[in-house]
Amino acid sequence: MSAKVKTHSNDEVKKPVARKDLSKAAWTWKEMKKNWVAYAMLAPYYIVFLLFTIVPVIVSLVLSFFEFNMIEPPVWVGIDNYTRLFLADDLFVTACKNTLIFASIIGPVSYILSFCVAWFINELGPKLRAVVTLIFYAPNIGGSVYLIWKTLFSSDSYGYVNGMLLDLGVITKAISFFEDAKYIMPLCIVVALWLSLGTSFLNFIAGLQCVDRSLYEAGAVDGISNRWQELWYITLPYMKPQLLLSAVLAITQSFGFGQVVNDLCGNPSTDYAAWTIMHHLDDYGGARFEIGYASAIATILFIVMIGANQLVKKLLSKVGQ
Amino acid sequence: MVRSKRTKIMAFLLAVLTVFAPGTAAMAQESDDAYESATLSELLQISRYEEYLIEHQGAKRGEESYILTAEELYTVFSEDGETNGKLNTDITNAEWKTWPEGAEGSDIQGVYLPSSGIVGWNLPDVKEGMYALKLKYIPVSEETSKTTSIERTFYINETVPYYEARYLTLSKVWVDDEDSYQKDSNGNIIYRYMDDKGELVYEYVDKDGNVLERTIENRALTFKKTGETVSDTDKYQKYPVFANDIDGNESKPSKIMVNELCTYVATDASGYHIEPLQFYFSEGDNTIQLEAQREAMVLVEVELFPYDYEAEEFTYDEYIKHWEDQGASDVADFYLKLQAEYPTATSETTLYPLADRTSAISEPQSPYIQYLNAIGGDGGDKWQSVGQWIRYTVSVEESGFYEIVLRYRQSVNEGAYSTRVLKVATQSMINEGIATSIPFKEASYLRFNYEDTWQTSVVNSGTDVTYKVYLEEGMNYIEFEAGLGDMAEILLDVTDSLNTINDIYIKFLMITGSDPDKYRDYDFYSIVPEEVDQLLVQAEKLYDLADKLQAQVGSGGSYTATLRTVAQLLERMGKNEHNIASNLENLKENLGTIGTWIQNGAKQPLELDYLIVRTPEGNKNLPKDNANFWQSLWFEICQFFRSFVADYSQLGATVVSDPDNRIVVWTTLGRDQAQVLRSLINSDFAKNNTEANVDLKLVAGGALLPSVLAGVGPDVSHGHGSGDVINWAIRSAVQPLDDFEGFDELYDDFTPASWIPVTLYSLKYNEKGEEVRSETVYGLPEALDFPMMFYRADVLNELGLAVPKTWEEMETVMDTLSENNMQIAIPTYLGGHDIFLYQMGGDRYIMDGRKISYETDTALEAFAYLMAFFTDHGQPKQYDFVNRFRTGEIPLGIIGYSTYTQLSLFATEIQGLWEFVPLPGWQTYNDDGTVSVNNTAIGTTTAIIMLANEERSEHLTNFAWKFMKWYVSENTQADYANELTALFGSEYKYHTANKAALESLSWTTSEYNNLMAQIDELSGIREYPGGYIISRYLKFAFDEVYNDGAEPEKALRDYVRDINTEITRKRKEFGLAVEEVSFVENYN
Repeated sequence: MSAKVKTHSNDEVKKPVARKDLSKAAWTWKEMKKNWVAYAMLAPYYIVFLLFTIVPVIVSLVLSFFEFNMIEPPVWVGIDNYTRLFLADDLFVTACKNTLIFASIIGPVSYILSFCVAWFINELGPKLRAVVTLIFYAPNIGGSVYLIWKTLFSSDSYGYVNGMLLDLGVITKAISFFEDAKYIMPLCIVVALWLSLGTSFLNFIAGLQCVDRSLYEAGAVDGISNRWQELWYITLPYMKPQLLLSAVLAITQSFGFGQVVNDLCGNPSTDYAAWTIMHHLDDYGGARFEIGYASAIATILFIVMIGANQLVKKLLSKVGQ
Repeated sequence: MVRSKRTKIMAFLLAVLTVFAPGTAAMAQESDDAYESATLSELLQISRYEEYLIEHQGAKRGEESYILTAEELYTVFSEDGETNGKLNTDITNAEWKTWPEGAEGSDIQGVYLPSSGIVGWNLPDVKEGMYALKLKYIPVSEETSKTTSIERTFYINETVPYYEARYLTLSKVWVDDEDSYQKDSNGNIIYRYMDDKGELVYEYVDKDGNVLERTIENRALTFKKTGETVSDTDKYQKYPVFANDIDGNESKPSKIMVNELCTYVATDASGYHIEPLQFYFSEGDNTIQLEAQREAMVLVEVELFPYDYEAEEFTYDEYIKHWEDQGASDVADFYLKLQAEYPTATSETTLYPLADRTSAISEPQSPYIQYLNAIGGDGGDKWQSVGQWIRYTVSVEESGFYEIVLRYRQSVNEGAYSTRVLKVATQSMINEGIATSIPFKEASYLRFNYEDTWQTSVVNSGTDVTYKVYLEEGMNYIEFEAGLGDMAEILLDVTDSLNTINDIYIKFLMITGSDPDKYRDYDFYSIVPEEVDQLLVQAEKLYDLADKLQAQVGSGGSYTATLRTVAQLLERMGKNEHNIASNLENLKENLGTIGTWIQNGAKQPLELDYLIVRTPEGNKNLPKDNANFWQSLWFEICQFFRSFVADYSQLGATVVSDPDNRIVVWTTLGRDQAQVLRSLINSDFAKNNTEANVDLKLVAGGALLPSVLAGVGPDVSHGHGSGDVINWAIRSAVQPLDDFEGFDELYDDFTPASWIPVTLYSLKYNEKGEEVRSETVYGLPEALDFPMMFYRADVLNELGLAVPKTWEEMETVMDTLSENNMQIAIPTYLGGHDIFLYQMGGDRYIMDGRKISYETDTALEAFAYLMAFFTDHGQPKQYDFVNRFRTGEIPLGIIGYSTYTQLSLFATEIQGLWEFVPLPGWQTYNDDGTVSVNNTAIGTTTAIIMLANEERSEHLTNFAWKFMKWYVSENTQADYANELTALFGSEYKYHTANKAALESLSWTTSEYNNLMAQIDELSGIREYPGGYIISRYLKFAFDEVYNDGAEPEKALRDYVRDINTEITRKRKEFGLAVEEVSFVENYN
């Protein structure tokens, strides 16, 4: 074996062909030893990624089969957590419903909105573009700047909206916007959309900037007759990586929606009106110290997100066709 | 529509807002009924000093003095200090005292008067005229030393002559406690030697002149001789070194009160009148009375004397001439620098040394060590209120003229200046026992202009003239007292203007009603022409005042801008009457702004680094005010690099603790509080308990849980809500406390209600199926908060309303307030429900926590009653209490009593116009015709806990327990609370759970009585597993009723099953006895 390997290692051109004489693992190990410098360079990232992302995910998966209160040792309970989640937890159903509503509205709408805004801004001159970009990105720079909505829609009769409506005589008693089940959901969706013009929007701008101008000329020669065709056949296919990244971000954002609701409506929101899976998870993990159950919820959320991701990938592959 | 609107009452309130209340609140007097507002309302009718003077314009000055000596003062008491009933004297424990106590040959004698009660004397055959009042007294304290000044109300012939006489404020005398200076191993104070220029020559020198070196030995700070000695010690200024921590940082000394004979000439405590107050006495027999508002004192002498400020006091020129005529001249070649952080005495505990890190040339200064190098300052209550003084002693060898140079900073009042009154007592005055006084009139107007850096100058009053003072050979006192100076006049003018504008505003309101229609022509000019014209007059006046102020200060700034803004508004309204209606709302807000402006204008912040007494040179050869660029740069660089190695979590520890023999205590309080706690540990606990060390660490909130999980948690942690305590306790993370030695003795120091939330009540079944109950305490209560009813006495009084004592009365009050477009503040959600539930005799749980009580009639009735406030009576659900209380929109409300601090600090303009009383009670009509009232309030406890740790030795566990016990003990809590008061000002009230410690806080008598009345009627709520779910569902039910008008009983009942299910599930998790929830029980 050594002879052959030697020839191989002396060979200038590496051929990643299947090797009959080595098992795949042995071959990988061989290659790793040979390219150790590259691995050493990757190591810092991978170690951190492993420790702080992969391991917790696995631990969480494992814990979902235990009962664990964080302080005392975990107790094995099999799939009890899952049975309870699906069969005995009414609130989880509410949470799923709300999460799906949020995800299906905020995800696509914010995605499309981001793109449209980015596309629009891209048409502006460079200086103006910088200013407008800043304006649209501003809600994301200032941490919890969305709390301005709480001031606007405060239930105090001196809140801006309440004050205005009272002055106009539309209402006679201050409305508790963020404590009334009727208003919570729509308001949260509006705030979420306002907030969502974040990273994905920057991404789109970057993507649009990268498109090779010469392609448009080529397209024009090849018979593209309007901006829509230009967009669909040239711009979008060209910026598929950005589209995908933004989609992934949009999905995680819309499924992980929760903190904003807490800050605006309190935790929990009245009558669980805006109770999402994320809240359910926090509630069991944080307030009730039931980490096992919380892990089960997290697992479900994880699976749902992966599913959504696959779906989006499928959809994106249709772009430009 | 229930929005608050303007009414006449509101207008009245605004008029009241302008009352600038002096330092302290006057509260209801001693009567059987602790909460009557009679005296508060009387107060509103008393005339002001200006009016009083006008009334007695024709009266001439009195001719002779009348002195009541100590013996005469004591005649109103019988032998044993009991009152003989004359002149309403109701003090029963007055005492004859000689001073110093027990000393032979003592010559000061006086009458001890306690901190409450009234005493009166006859003054026969007085010649008609105006007199000033002088009191000689010795400040003393009852039991623990309170930090507030002495306060008395002065009556002539059983009436308070004017408002200012209500607040005679007599300062105490505080000095640094020598125990808080750094000592060497022999217990002698260590000194720091600085030369006349302020350069640090020897950092540590013992009393014999041996130079010392600071080292850490056996983990503790020691000072060792280097062998070097200082030969000519007289060449240097010696200053005691403040106590050092292991990093060499100095910590602030504590203050002790001196029982020294003081002289007080009655002056306006708020500083608007620079001259001593004058009192009019009619011909013949008169009586005078003194009523105690705060603090005890020994009264030595009372004197009424004719006093003419104008004639008797020198102007500066007369002063110089006077002494020159006596042969005084400028001294030659004298230069003495005194570090300001070492005053001889101060009037308040808040005037303590500070560490100035902003300037590289503050003395002493180091980028590595935190020296306390300045005094005064700009935060809290530090040397900015009128009457606060700092005294220095200057020893000179030659009588003659000297001048005083100050290095100071006034970086707070932008566009304005701070004023100090210079008072001097020369050696001969000191010998004769004469108090410090102003040497010349201008000394009341020393001016310190705004600049954001340090400044140096010879004392002056804003002109080119620099002042010299005459000092005598020997010892001289120099005192700097915060005053209003020229600002007094401007503030009075603005106040006057504000009152006029208020009256105009009320006139307009009478025409427009509370909600003016912008588009209607009210034709103001034909109805109230004078008022409309007056608008322009006032605008002109405000413009003038702004100009005058600007001329005085020399720059504009935001300070004068406020006046101009209001003037502009008035002008706009006055020039075109159509602008009046639309701007009324605006005008109301601006009136509030002026109120705040007046308040701020009365603040006189100043920070001192050092003072120099020297040969008069005028403004020549002044020391450098600020470091040059390179000095500053180097200082900042050193500080920056120092920050990488400094351990900020040490907080002033004086011992490097042994990692194997220490307990770690975590605190999530602010840095200031933590430092106070650290110094208490150093000075008290660590001294008496040497078997192990305490490491106090300042951590961020929320750090405890993760660290406990990681096994690196502390031994003791404090500041925890009861929910956390029980949550961790039930999971065995917290150490049970009731078996520790000395627990039982501790129990009675706290109200039972404060123990309930930190006790775990468990109910389990044993093998035989019998119920086994247990109660285990897991935390010691440190702070206790509970709701009280706050009300505005002025508003209630104006409407002729009595303070409601039951909810039935409350309904009446509420209706009257509603008619006047005012509201009340009722707690919402769980807090509101609990009050009614417990007052009606209910409990949150039934069956020992196995079920919620919300199906019982009591709970449902309580909920319906609570909801009626919000639905039927339209009370607000969300509100900013302090703000609306301040404006009078919500003149009555129920809120945690810790709001007291916020109200007294934030809403100073309504000081003295409000108080807090126990909650209204639920009245039950008994069969025998009697009515019983239940005033229960719910207390919330914050606790200190010990974390369970199997690896900790028993020795350390016991030590930790000792620490906890010490921490919640009466003395520690009292010291802690008083230290915080010293830090943040007398309004700051730490709501300690220790009953005895609560008393030692500076409450007025009636405040304390009210608090105690509520504490006696306090209930705690047990924490059971699953309890967190209740607030959630109660909120849902509340919102359902509030938003959708659901029927309260039904709304609440709907959630009972959900709550019970959660409780049962949680109880099962912990193996507790449960009551299974039937799925149908709610629907039958």
